[in-house]
Amino acid sequence: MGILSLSGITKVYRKGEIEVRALGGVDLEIEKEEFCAIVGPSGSGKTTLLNIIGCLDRPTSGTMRYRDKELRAYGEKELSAYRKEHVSFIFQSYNLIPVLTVAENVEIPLSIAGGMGNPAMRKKALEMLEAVGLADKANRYPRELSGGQEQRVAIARALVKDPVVVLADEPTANLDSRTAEEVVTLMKAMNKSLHTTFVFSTHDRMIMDEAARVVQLHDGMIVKDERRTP
Amino acid sequence: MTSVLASIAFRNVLRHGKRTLITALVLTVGLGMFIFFDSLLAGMDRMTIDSMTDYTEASLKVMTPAYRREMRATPLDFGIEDSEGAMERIARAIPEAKAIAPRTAFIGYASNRVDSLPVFGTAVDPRRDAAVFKLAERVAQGRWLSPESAENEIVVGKALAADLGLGVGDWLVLSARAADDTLNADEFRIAGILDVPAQEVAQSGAYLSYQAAKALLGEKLPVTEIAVALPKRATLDAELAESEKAAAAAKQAIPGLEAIPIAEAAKDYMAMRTMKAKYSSMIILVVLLIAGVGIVNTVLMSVFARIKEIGVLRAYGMNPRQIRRLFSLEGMMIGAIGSFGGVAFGGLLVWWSIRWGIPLDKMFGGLDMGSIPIGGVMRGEWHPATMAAGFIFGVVASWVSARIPAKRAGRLEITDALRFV
Repeated sequence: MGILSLSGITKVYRKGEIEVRALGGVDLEIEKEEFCAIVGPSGSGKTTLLNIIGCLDRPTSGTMRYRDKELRAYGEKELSAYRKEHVSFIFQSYNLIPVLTVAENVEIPLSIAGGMGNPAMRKKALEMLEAVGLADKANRYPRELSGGQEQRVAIARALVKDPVVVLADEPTANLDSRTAEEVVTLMKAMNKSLHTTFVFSTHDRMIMDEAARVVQLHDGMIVKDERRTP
Repeated sequence: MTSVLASIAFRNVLRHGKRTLITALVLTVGLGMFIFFDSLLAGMDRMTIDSMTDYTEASLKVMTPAYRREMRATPLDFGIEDSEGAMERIARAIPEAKAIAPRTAFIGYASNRVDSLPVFGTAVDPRRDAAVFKLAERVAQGRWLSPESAENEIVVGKALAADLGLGVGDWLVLSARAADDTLNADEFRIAGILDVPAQEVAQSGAYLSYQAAKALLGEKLPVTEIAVALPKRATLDAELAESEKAAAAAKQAIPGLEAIPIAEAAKDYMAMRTMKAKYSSMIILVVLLIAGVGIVNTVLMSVFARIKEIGVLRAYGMNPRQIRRLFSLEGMMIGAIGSFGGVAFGGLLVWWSIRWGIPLDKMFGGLDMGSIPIGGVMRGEWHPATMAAGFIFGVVASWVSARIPAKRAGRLEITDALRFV
């Protein structure tokens, strides 16, 4: 059994009288330390699926278990705790906080999680920046970085709290192909060295080729689930 | 967690410097003006009460209960028996008293032989009275009454002298009802003309020595009032409290007589002062309301500008309460900046008003405002309590105002926030 288990997940959005079915009954098992790509055309439900896995959104029906615990029954407090401790996110447009320095941005998840003093948080953040090759930019502000560097900072931010799962929504969509490749290589290296599970959505063929598992969505349904050795 | 919230809030406040400055400026100007006007009102209170203690009422007055009941008519029938003995006992009961003097008030008419005007006459001991009141220091022309003078001398208010067309050295006819109820009149040479901010003294004050008054009102002229001067205190409230305390002590020392503290003598003005305090608290409410609207707007703009940031923080586990706290902190910081500026600006204006003052003579010269003195220089008064209250109110009002947009930020759905463009 995987660390994340989704069964019969549906998501219906209501816009006035119109109902839009984003997910139409998804069954999915995510194994520990997987490097899994969710692919599919625009509107196929990739982002919705990631949002539900990350508990940013609630499914309309179906069950979702994390380490054998049903997440649908969780209240807002438990969901916040789940996001705080177990999952991390990487966004397409990086979403770094502009008023904080690079190091402070990386420290944010640790501050939210609590239980760590300022010197320890700074040490951890610098270690993570070292791992993504940006230790020398620790005191810079996001506006002083390139897109690729910003996404590497976002990766450091996602990994700093040692999450079990990192969810990345189109992490390379805003990057040129060379930088995109660097970012994926970095994610893969982190997956190997830190044993973190990565689930990411993408359109990019080159990135898909790097994934150990490719789940293909179409109209909110899984149409193909392929495990392979890249 | 609080430190990271404070850090983000503080940097956002600095990042949107212009927005912060404009919002804070409203609070700064409003609060500054409130502190300034409060100081001027306190200064006006001080000036009014000082004018009463210096020229008419002293810090406290002692009289018989019967005289107190009829005081407006200034009867000569209810004098203080053994007034010298009473003054000695009062001096012992109030060791901090600066000076004590006897007085006898009466109503009369002053005439230049053509016209006559009503006057509030006061028989005084020139030397002792000058130690209690400041009339002797405010003689604009001529001099204060001489204790040694064998001549009938009188000192009158500036407006009274002007109305009668008389000057120093001129003779004035004063008529009044004597202690035995007969109507007497006598001639007095004007020794001095008083220029005081107290209108009742300027318009109808006439002062003469006991020696001269006895010739007019009878040899058995009683002392009807004993005036006591206490040292000045830093604040009016301290002075009023001191006067109350001294009156209580005097009352115990002279059973059968009444001691009236200045707050009681000036009870009409004190009632007006309470009303003024209510109006002044309404000013601060209006100021805070205007500033509050500005803060709601600024924080709301901040929420809209940072919706994605809210989404990220929520995605990383921050709960709605913490998001609300983040934006409330931002509003509170703007409020603190504005309030600090307001206290500084207000403090500067108060300093200016104390250092240089407002020349009432130049601004309102000749205007009659009853018991409110309209002469001299009006100075503000330091009110640290008002400054502290203004600062606290400013910060709290900002925090409360920021709660409205902060609640909105806390209610945002994470996915909507992350999708927001």
